Amino acid sequence: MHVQQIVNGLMLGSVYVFVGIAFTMIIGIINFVNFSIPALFMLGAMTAWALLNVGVVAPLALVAGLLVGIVASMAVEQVLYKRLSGRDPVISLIGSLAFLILYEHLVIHILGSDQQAFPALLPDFNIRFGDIVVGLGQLCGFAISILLVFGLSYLLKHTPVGRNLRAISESTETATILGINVRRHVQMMFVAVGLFTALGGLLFSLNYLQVSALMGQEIGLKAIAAMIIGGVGSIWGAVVGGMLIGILEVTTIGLFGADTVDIVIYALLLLLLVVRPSGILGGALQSTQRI
Amino acid sequence: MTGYLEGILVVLCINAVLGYAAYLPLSIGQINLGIAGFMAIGAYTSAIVTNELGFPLILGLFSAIAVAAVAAALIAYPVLRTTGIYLAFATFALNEIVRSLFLNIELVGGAAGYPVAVYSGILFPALVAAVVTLLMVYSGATRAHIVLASVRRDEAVSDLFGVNIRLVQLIVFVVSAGLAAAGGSLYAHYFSFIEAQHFTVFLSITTILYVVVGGTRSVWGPIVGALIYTFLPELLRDSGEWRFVIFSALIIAFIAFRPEGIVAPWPSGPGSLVARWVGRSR
Amino acid sequence: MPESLLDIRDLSISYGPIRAISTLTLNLREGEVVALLGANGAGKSSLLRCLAGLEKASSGAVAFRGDDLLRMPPSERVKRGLVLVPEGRQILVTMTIEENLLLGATQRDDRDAVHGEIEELYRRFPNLAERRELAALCLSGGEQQMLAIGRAILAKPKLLMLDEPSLGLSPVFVDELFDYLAVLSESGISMLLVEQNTRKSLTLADRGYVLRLGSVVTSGPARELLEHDDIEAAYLGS
Repeated sequence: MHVQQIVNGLMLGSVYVFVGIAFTMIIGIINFVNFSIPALFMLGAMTAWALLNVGVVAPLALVAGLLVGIVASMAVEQVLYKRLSGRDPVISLIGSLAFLILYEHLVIHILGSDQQAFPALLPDFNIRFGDIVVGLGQLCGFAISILLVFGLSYLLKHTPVGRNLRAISESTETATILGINVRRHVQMMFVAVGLFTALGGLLFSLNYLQVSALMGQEIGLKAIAAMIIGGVGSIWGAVVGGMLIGILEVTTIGLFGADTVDIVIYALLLLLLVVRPSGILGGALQSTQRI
Repeated sequence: MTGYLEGILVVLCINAVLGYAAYLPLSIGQINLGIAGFMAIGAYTSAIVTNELGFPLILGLFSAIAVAAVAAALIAYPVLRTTGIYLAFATFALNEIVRSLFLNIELVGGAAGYPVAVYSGILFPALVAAVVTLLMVYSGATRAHIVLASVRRDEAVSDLFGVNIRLVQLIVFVVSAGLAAAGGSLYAHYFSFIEAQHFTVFLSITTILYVVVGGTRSVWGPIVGALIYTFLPELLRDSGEWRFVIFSALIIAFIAFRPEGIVAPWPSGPGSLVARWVGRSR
Repeated sequence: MPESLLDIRDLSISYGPIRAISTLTLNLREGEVVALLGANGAGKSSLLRCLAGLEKASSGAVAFRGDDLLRMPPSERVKRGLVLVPEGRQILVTMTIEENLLLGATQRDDRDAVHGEIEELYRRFPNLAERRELAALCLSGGEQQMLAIGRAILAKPKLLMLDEPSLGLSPVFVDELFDYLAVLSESGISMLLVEQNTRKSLTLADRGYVLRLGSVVTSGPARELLEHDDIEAAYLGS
């Protein structure tokens, strides 16, 4: 296994981290499996691409992409909020699936399902560490993902907002009794989810120069697998999982070809779900205790 | 009957059968995202035995169901140990594994797809769909349906009344796989060509969505869902894209505006439900 | 004449066909300790949970410090000074003792005063102080109860509602608990106390209400209720 491959894997993996973190945060705090997240990943990038295509300046297009991701995420919260505290998690899961399909097919309808080339906005600059080559853009993406994780971790541990979120995570009812405005905190989380995920999508497109209405599916599902492998509800688990999947993907392609990637990843996921569902770093998910 | 209309009716039959495959797990509150995978198993099995072994169509169908049922039974033990959202994840992983496996098996064409020699015409799918529907409606009126409803309602209470939850889950999982495989077989023999890329998790998801729109509390739900799903593109004179938007928007609207949610509440209260069931078992 | 703090009129709480509370009328004035007594199922917990905002009232009106309580979201009620110490304490066991206390002060803006008050609390409860950085899981039932009350006090309540605080506590802790409640009452905090331990609560309280199947069957000065043993037997099944 070449070190270069591992490095490539880490770069790819950092994209999964963005999505994985969003996913794991929502599950960890309000026990909601938000399958609309892969669509948010795609929406940010496709919006930016569409705007760039009609001549909008790059910074504006990128920011617009982020905003669309945030708004789309807030729409999910608005509709599903009442369901999220209900006794039937199946309904909210189906609801999030509905949003996934809705967003994806709206984009397919308006922009088509073909893969498109994303304009090369970043300088094509490579950094060399001895024998290893890393693209500047990719390295930046990687750095941002790590910063994000550290930032989130700090927020949760050392700020009042983070404390409130952890309280909500343990018991929504107790948080309510303490006077925490649960709804407002949940809304903040959905905004963060939209932001992180859309950011991940934009970084992916900027670095790999491709974008399509179906990219959410491909990347998103793998990111979900990464999250589960790393440990549901654990932020660092999302990092570990994401990096692991990234490395696994790159080395599998190198060894066996691109077709076997899915089998390897999903077989690992299935194995883990059966043997150790809490994942590598995650704590057990108390699915019935949560309100 | 024009070839076009015939095509739509066959698609309706296939969608109905698939709908029931999705309906069963939903009726006990589980989400099975692996339906497309079992459909793939059914399609390829049926295609292989009729292509290579010269089996007649009906045996192709039965082989498809049998293989899928066995596969489901084998995989059920580990998979059913997971619950709730983990089950959803596990079945989605399962689906992708199956799809990728077929994508890689050169014997059945791999990514290029696999042509199917035996053509079914419209009568066969129609018959199969009719039989499946009758079986479902019949079982809906009997104890089986009440057992399923009580498991969905309250697992603890069902346990107390001697309903073997694990057995119910296993049976539902296996039957669901068999039905999905039947749908796959019908698909293979009508369209004469199958490719692994068709059987994605998204096929499972959209199937679940149209069953939900049709209503998961009534045994006619899958039929209603399949009808809407199949004929909506025709009504809209559309390539088929808008129906996904409409479906998902419908579900979202239901969730947002109907306080009871997308599935209508069980008409009789738990008390009378249990009484009916206990009464029947005397 | 101390002002009316809590004014409940014809309150009803239903869960589907089950009536937990039927047209209940109750009031509490500033500085008072009011005891709510009654057997299990009398609706006492439902009442407190409804006042805290965890459950919906089906009809009736509640005024807290003159404002319509039922329209207020739960976080607003805490901000105005209506704080619940719930049944079973509901301590957040995955969080540290210090964090649990800080959470009590969620609605407050004055960070420095909060820290001062936490230190004061630690002086009173050294067992909590020495484990302040440990997860609350390590506390005994009695210690958790003190933490729960301390947490509630940090919210600067005008009216403190307590749901069965002595449940599951050893006799020694029960005494300590009621001593502390007496101290709190002296400092001006009004209380609505739901308790199984009728003797202790009526000793502490100024007035009492006895509930049965969701309605008030008798009320009056605590002293009087305490003297009527037959009331106890008849309504409290003790």
